[in-house]
Amino acid sequence: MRSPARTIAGHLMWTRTGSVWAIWRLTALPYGYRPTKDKLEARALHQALIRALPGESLLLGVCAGLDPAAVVERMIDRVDLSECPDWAAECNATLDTLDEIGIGQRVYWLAVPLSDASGKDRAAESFRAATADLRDLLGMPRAGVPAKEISRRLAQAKKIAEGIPAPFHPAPATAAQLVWLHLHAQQRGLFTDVTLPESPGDVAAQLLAPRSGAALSEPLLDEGGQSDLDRKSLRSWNPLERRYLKVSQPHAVTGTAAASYQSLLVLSDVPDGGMTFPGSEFLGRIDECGLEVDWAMRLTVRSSHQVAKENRKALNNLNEQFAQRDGEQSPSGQSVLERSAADLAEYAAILESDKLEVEAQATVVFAVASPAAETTVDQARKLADYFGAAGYKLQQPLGYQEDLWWAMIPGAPANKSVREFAQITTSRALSATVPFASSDLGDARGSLLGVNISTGRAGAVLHDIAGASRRDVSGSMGIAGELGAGKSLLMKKLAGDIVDRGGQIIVPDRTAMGEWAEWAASVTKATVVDIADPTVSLDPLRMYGPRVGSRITQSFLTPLLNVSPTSERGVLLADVLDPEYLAQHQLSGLGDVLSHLENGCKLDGAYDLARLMRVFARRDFGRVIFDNNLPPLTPDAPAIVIRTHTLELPNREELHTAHLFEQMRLEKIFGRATYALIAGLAREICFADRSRLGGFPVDEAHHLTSSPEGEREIIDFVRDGRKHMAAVLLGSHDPEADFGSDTLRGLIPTRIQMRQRDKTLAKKGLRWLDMDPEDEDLLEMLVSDTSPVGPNGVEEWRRGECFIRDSSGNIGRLKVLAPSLPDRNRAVRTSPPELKSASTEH
Amino acid sequence: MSEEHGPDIVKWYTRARRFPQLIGRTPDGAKIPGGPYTVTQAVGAGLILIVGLNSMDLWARFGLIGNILVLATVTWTAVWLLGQIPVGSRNPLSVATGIAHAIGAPSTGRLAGRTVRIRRPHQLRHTVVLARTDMAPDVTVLQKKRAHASLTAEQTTPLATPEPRLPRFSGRQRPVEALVATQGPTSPPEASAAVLVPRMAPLTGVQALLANHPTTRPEMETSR
Repeated sequence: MRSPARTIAGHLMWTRTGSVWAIWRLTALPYGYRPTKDKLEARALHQALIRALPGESLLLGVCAGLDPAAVVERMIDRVDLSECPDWAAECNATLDTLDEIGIGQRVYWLAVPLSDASGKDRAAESFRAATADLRDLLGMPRAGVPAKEISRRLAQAKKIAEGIPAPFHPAPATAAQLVWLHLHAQQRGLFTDVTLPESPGDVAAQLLAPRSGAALSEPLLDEGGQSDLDRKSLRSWNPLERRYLKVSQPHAVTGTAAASYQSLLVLSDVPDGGMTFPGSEFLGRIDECGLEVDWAMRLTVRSSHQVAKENRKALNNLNEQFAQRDGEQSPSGQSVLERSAADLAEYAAILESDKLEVEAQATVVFAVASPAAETTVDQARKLADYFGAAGYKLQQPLGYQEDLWWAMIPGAPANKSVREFAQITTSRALSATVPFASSDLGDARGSLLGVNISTGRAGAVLHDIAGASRRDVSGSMGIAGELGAGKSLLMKKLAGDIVDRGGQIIVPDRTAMGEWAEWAASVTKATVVDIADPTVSLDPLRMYGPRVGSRITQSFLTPLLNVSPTSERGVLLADVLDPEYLAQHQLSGLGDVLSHLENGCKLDGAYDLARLMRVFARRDFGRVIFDNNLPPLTPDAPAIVIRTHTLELPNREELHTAHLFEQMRLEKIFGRATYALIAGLAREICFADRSRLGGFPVDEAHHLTSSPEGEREIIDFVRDGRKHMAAVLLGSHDPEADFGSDTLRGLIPTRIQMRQRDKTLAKKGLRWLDMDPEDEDLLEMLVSDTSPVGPNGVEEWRRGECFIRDSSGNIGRLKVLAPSLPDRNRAVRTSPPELKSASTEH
Repeated sequence: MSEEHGPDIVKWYTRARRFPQLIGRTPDGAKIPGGPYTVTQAVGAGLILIVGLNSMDLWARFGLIGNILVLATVTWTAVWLLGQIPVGSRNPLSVATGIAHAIGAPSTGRLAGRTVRIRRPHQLRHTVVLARTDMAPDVTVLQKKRAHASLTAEQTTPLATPEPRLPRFSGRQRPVEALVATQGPTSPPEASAAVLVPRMAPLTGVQALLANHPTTRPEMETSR
C-alpha cells in the first residue's frame, strides 16, 4: 500500500486506486450525562446518518491535543488587554497551567468514496490513476484533474452532505486538515501533532497547507518492529509478543521524529445477549477507558432488498448444516446452529418489517500508540481488558497490523482484514454505539472554570460571565455543595476574573474573619464597608440622590419597618420618600428624613413612624444607614465588600410563623432588610455601566433569598443582567431551599453541584441539574466519588470536582482550576481558620 | 426488542450469516464416520492424501499394507490435529497468512508498499574526458555570442528573475574575505540579525498577548 492521495481538491481526494473520496469533519452531538430523552435523540440522529450513507464509508474519531493558546485565545476574546493588565498576566500564566495538564479533544471525520453509476466514468478514473502512476514512475509531471471533473465530484459530494443530519454540521475538510490527518496517523502516540487547523487563517493551517507532494510524506511501516530486533536472540523470532506496527517517518531529519509504535485492535465480537441502550455506547464513551484511543469504523451499508438474497442463502446453508450435523454427539453443536437460526430469523424479520432499515457491516478498528513498544503492548492489553469486562471481544490479529493501519486511512481501499472482521448489524443497533458523542461543556469564551473530567479526555471549560446577549443567556451561576467542597474558591476565582477583566463586584461578607474582605484587598483596590464599624454610609438616598435613591430606600424600609405599602404607614412612607417631597424639604439622607419626621413634618403619624425608625437608628448597626456624618459610599472601586457578620437573619420558621415573626430580634429584622438593600445596591452599581462587567457573588444565598424583597431583587438582577454584562453567583448547601422560588431557580442557567455527602441533599442537587435523582450510580458518584474526603482531607489532585450543567444544558463533570497566578492562587485559598479545622475548605 | 417497555436491547447479527460449516454426511445422505468434520479438516485430509498418493515414489517402501497404514495414520493424525482448532474461530488460512506476514516482514520495513533496501557501500567508477584548453579561443567571437545569448534570453523570458550577482574575486583576495566584504563588514551585527528574523505582525491574539506582556512566566506552584 502507498499513501492513497493522488490529488486533493477542496475536501475531495483522488486516490491512486482510482476512487474519489470526500471527507468532512463532523461535530459530535452533546451527550455526556444528558437525560435519556436527549440520548435517544442523539441515537436517532446517528441512525439517520448511517441510513444516509449507502455503500462504503469510513467514520473516524481521533484524539487531538488542544493547544493551550487556543483556549487562552477564547479567554481574551473581546477583552482589551491593554486595559486589563491583570487579566493579561493571568492568561499568560494559564498557558503554562494548561500545558501542564495537557488538555485534548476528539475530532470526528467522515470519509465517503464517491460512487460512479456509469462504467465509463469508473474506467476513466481508473485509467487516470494508472496514468498518474506511470507518470510518477517515469518522473514526468502529473496531470491535474480537469475542472469539469472537480465540479462534478463536488456536486456529488454536496449531495451526500445534504443527506447528513444537520446537527452533525458536516464541514468539508480542508487540505491542511487532510495533511494533519495523514501526519496524525504516522505520529500517533508521540504527542507531536501540530494543532488541528481550524480555519484557513490560523498558524497550523499555514504550516500544514500542502504546497507540494512532499506534504504527504510516505511513512516507513514495520510490522512487528523487525528493525529493532537482534536476530541472534531466540525470543526475537516469536512474533506473538510484537503485535504492533512501528511507524517511522523516513523523510524527517534524523533525530526530529521518533518512531510511533501502534497497536491496532479490531472488534471481533459483541456481547451475546445483546446490549442495553443507554450503556452500549462503546464508541461514544471510549474516552472513559482512560487511554488515548483512535477509532475507525469501516462501514458498508446495504438496503434490506440487497441483503435479502444473502439471507436466503444463509438460511439454505443453515438448513444444510442442520442436516450435516444431525446426530452429532457434541452437546454444543446443535445449540450453535439453533442460535444462528434464531438470529437469522430475527434479523430477517427486522429487515422485513421495516423497509427503511438497512444492513450495516461495520469493522471497528482501535489504535493505541506510544513511543515505546512495551508501553503500546501494555495499552493494547488494557484496552482489550476494558472491552472484555463489558463483554466485547477485541482481537489483535497477528500479521495484520499494517492492514488494519491502512483501514484507518481515508482513501485507502477496504482490505482483506476489513472484510474478515466485518460485523453484521442494523442501523438501529449500530446507532446505539453513538460514535459521535461529545461531552463538551461550557461557553465559547470567558473565564476558565476548569477542566472537563466527564471522560478521560480533559477539555477546557469556559464560562462567559458577561453572558451572551446574542444567545439570550444569563451569565449567572448557582453553586451548591457541602461545606468545604470548594464553593467559595470557585466564587472567588470568578469574582477575581471579573475584577481582572475590568469589571466590578459587590459582595456581602458574612464571615467573622472577613474572608472576602481579605481576599478582595489582596486582589485589587477594595472598599470594605463594615456594618459594625462603618467608615462610609450605605444610605441610598445620599448615594443616588432622591430619584433613584428613594426607590431603593423604600425596598429597604418596607421590610425593616414591617409596613404594608397600602397601609396608613406605608402611604406615609411613600409620601415622605417622594422625590419631590424630599427636594422640597431639602432632605438629602435618611438621617435628615428621620429628624424631619421627628420634628417638622406635618403629615399624620409622622412622629410614630419616626419613633419606629429611631429604634434601629439608635443601635450601633443603624449607623451605616442613618448617620449623616459618615460620607456616602462612592461605588467606583473594583471590589466593594460589605461585612455583615454582626447582623443576624431570621430563619424560615420565624418568617412563616406569625407569633415568631412578631418576636423577632431587632438584629434579625435589620439584617433581613440590609440584605435586601445590598441586593438593591448591587443591582444599581453593576447595571450603571453597560459596557463594564459586574458581579454579585453571594455565598450562603439563603440570607438573600429568605426575604421576598431580596429574592425579587435577585430575580430582576438575573433577568436584566445579561443586558448589562452582570451576573449573580449564588452559593448554597441546598439548591432547592436556598435558591429561592422555582422562578429564580429556573432563571439561573449555569448550575454547579459540588460534593454533597448527604444523600437527601445530593438527590436535590441532581434534580436541580436536570439529572435523574433516582439513578443510584449518579448519586453514588456525587456522594462518594466527587472530591472524596480521605483520612487526610481531600487529596490535592481530586479537589474542586463537581457536576455542572452549563447554559446550553450540557451536563458533565468538571474539575475547578484555581487561578494560575501564584498570588491569586494563594488568595482564593485563604480560608477561615475555624472552617479549616472543621473541614477541608480550599 | 421492545421499544416502549423495559430497557432497549440491541443485537448484532453477525452470527446469523456466519456460522461454522461442517461436513457430516456424504452427498447421498450417508453419515461419514467420526464426523462431522470442519472444512479445514476436509481440505487438510484431501491435501495430504493427494500429496501422499502422488509422492509414493519418495516414501512408499513399506509394502502395500504398510504404505496404506502409514498414509492413513498421517492423514488421521492431521485430521485430528486440525480438529483441535476450535470450531467457529478465524479462517485458519488467514491466520497462517498472518503468521507468515509477521515472521516474514522485511526487517527494514516497507516504504510506499515496497521493501526498503539499503544499498551496501559501493565504489563509484567513472571516466572523464579532459578537453585541451591551451589553444586560446577568439575572445571577440565569444563575447559576441554571449551578448546575443543574453539578449535573446531576456526577450523570451521577461519574467525570469535576474541572476544574483556573484562577488568578483580579485586575484589576491581569498574567497572568504570576498564574501565577508560583500556582506558589508561595517554593518553592525544587529542589522544582519534584523534581516534574518523579520519582525512579523502577530497573527493571533495569544501572540499579541505574549508580545505585549513579556513578563517572565511565574513559577507555578506544584500544589495545584
